[in-house]
Amino acid sequence: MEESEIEKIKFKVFRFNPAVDTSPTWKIYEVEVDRSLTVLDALLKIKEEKDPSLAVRYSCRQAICGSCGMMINGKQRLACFTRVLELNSKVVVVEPLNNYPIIRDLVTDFSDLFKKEKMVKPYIIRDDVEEMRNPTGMYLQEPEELLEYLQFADCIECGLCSSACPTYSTDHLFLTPMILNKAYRFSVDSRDKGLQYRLPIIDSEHGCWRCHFAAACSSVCPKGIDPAKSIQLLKKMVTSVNIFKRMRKKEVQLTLRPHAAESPV
Amino acid sequence: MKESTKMLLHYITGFLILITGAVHLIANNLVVFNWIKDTLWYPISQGILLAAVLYHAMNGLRVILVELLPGSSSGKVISIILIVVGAIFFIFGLYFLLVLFGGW
Amino acid sequence: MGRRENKLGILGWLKLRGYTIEKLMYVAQRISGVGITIFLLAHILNVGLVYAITGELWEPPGIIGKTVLVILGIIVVFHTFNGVRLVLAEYGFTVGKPRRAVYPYEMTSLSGWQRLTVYLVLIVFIIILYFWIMVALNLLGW
Repeated sequence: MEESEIEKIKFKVFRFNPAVDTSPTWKIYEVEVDRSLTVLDALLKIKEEKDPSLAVRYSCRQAICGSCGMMINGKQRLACFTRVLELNSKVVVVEPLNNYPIIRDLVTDFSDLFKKEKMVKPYIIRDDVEEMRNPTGMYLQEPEELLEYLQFADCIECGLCSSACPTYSTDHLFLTPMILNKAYRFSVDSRDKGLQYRLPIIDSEHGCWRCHFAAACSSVCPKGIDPAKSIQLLKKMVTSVNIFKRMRKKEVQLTLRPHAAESPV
Repeated sequence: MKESTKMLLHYITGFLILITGAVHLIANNLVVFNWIKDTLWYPISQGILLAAVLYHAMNGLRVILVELLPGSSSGKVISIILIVVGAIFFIFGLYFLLVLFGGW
Repeated sequence: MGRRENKLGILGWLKLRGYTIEKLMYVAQRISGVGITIFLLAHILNVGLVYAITGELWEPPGIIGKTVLVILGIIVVFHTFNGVRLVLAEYGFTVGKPRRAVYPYEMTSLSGWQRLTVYLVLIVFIIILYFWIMVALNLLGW
């Protein structure tokens, strides 16, 4: 049986407790890692064995909750999704995500993003009130209609994209790639009729047009969402609606279905 | 003016600069093409170049400044300053063109 | 209990390590745009004032002036070709179609047609740079 190689890796971790410290410090911990150990595992090992005061946000440990985003060796990554030995580095520098206020150690404040998410109305908006109240059928989508937005719906809202965005690093009013992606996901959905309600905030001074396709967001996204693509497609949609007053979007058809109570047993 | 209109104009003026700017460079620097400067279309194309390049440059500066100095009213202030600067240069340039080609 | 503001500010534009070439092109487009604007305003004032005062059309002066124009030519060529590439990307022509996100993810905006236009811009830029430098050395009298 092959012994898995164990290496000693130094972790240089950003420490800052605003209740006690005046300025941040770096603490170095040495951790024994093997092939499969992730950065999150290493941080929890540090918390368990060396320094319980380290503050880390984590939950699922399988890259689906989006909680453990941090700067690892200078790039935005999910801690649970990054194997230590794949970084090929004797020293691993762990810092909180750029461009978000730091609450403590590696934990950052996402309230700005969630505030902007509410402004962009991230839900399907329809006007057929009678059908909504007393449904007579379903809005079934063709595979092509689904593909228009499915990639952008996979977002786990980890915030890595907005941390990498060069616009967000200077412009705190920018809607951020994460939110613009969400706006596009709902606007292009064939079941949605609400683009007109989102337009004022998207087509504004700090909306989709402050993106200049640096594509840093897509290069760090851990789930393959490609927010850079959705923002450019959003720009195309916004221009098409505002300048040419038309939008090439299929409208979903209502597929009548008898109610379960009315159908014969 | 909506933001999407401003940016569409930014791209359209970029394209106009490509064409009229090439005419400007070729007619002024390559001696074999100096005759272009004597045609009727040349001053018209230079007028278009002046307007397009000033819009493109001022809008570009506006975009950069609005990102560096975000604020609820800073957008308006930056726009007004840049419109004024652009207008001054446009009037100056237009006067030059009229004197040089119109015989004023 | 306070929070520590953690915005990178304008240094965030210069953070290029670990990101793709598109981020470098974005920074170059901004810097070249500002540089060309400064030249533009100086040029309009220069030609206009020289004509107003002497009645003569302005000519590029000496070796320093000609060198400045050579550098300007390089910057303008880059800004133009990259600008065309950006218009194609920003109106959705080269970024690719949405597709299912299946691991290992391939971002169509960082590959396919869009990345091809990046390479086209760089190749055309280097070719034109070569010819421009030849012309410029000629004009400078070397």
